Amino acid sequence: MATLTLKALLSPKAGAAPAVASLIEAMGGGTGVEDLSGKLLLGVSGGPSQVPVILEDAILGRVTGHQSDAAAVASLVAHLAAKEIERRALAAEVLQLYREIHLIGQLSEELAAVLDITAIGKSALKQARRLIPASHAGILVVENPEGPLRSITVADTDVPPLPPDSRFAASIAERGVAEIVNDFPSDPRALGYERAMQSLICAPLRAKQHTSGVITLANTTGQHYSSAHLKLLDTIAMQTAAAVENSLASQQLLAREVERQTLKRYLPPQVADLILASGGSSLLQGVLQPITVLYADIRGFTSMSEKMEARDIVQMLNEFFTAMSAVIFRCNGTLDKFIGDCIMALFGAPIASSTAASDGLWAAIGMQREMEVLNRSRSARGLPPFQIGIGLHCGLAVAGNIGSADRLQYTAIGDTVNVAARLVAKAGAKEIIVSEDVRAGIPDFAGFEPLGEVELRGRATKMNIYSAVWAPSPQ
Amino acid sequence: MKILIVDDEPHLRMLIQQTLEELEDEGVELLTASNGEEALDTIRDEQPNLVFLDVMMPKKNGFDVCDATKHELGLSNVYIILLTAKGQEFDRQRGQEVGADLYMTKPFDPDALLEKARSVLGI
Repeated sequence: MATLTLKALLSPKAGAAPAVASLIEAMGGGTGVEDLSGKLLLGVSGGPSQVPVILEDAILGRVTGHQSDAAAVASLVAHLAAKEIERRALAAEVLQLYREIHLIGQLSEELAAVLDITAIGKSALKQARRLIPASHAGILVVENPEGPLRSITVADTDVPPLPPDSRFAASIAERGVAEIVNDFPSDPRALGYERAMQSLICAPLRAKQHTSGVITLANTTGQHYSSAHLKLLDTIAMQTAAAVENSLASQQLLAREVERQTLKRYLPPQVADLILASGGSSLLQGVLQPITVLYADIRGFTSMSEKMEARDIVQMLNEFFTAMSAVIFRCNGTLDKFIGDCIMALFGAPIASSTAASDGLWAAIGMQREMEVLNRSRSARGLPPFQIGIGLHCGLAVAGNIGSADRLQYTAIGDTVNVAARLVAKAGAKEIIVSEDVRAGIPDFAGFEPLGEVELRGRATKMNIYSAVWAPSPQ
Repeated sequence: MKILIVDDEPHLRMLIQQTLEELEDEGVELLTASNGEEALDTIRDEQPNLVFLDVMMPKKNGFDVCDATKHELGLSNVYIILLTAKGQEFDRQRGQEVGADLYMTKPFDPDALLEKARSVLGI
């Protein structure tokens, strides 16, 4: 604060001058006010006595004149000076509040414009450091409720005032109450390099009853923090917490949506939602479970594709796969993969089902019927029809996400899968070939026609197979 | 060196004065005026180096004071910063026509205001 001088107090524009001037006049003149250097500020100089103007043990100047007059004027000037000091202190306090309000307002504006957690942290630290002196500043956040603290932003210096494993930061986050420590090295919670901080002020990022991290401002010099600093940092922390909360929530939503979109590529939407609701893809670890495997492929595809343009082949396959996927999803199937002109689908995985075999059979029949619809549409466009054969087998297999970390695929492996692949090779156009196990699993389906015992490549024993007779859907 | 603070709101005057108070230690005299006419009189008599001038004022508004200073009085070297209320529509074109050097919004950023004053005065 600027020091108060008599010159400023008694300048013609200042409010105090007229009062002093009128007192001097009322006393009949002969009195004058001089500053410390003896320069006359008001009245006349050269009076017989001198009385100093004293404010809080400091001499501001003197009043000359007759003893009693000079004493009266000196006391009025001292009184006015004291009032002025008081006014200035009040003004300084109001300005400080104004600064704080301005800063909080500015922070609100900045935080409303960003969702990125680092940007949020940067804004918060920048604003906090405008009013709270600090050599080190940083924010630690907890990204999931049980997780550890993580450093998201550090101001200016390379090191955060408190590292993520700080015992002190953890205690603030746990208690949810801001603290000032003006002799940090002697605090029992201070550890390692953080003891270089002489004083610090740390506030929890509290939102909706829980703490999402801490904001810390610290000094390696002897800065003494006050309760006013604490209150301000606490206010900034609350605003920051709300923004951090929003940022984390939107990140989680985004990650969830990405996962949902990924799952929906091969799972019926309702199964995708169920898996997300019960903990996400981690549920898709490989487990040995009873499943039904369906293989479908296009009869005569090789000779057909030889006569077609590559672009037309792609278009045909896309149309075919899209139509078949819809049928598979409708029958609670999981799309395992497309292999050339072949589709592999699973039933009873990832969520085990007692109706897996019949779901698989109805999917097969649905696919054959859907092929008729597709072929009618193709002939209307002047395109040749094509047919598919389907193989179906059930048994135990390992189903789960298999692959490398960057390229995981949900699939099933095991003998059950191989048998289904052998069966499709035996299926002619419009045919559905099922194994003995499938037939036994669907006792109430009357349309199985025995095809006798066959040898399947790679298997020692023969196996009874059946053709599932299906009725075309009414046109 | 002199800075004139013109605002019809006493609180705003006090806040700006308080913000610039530390410049008094460096020999800067702070003057105040509470309306446009008083402002123009002070500008004519004192010829301040810098004027913080509120736009919305009774009697003579900030545009008129600026116009009179720069054109009628010919005091083009008086640096004038117009203060406009945030959220209120500000006629930039009018600001340019009357020869304002800069405009700042209220509520003002005390640090920015002080920094600007220092740079204009070269201290």
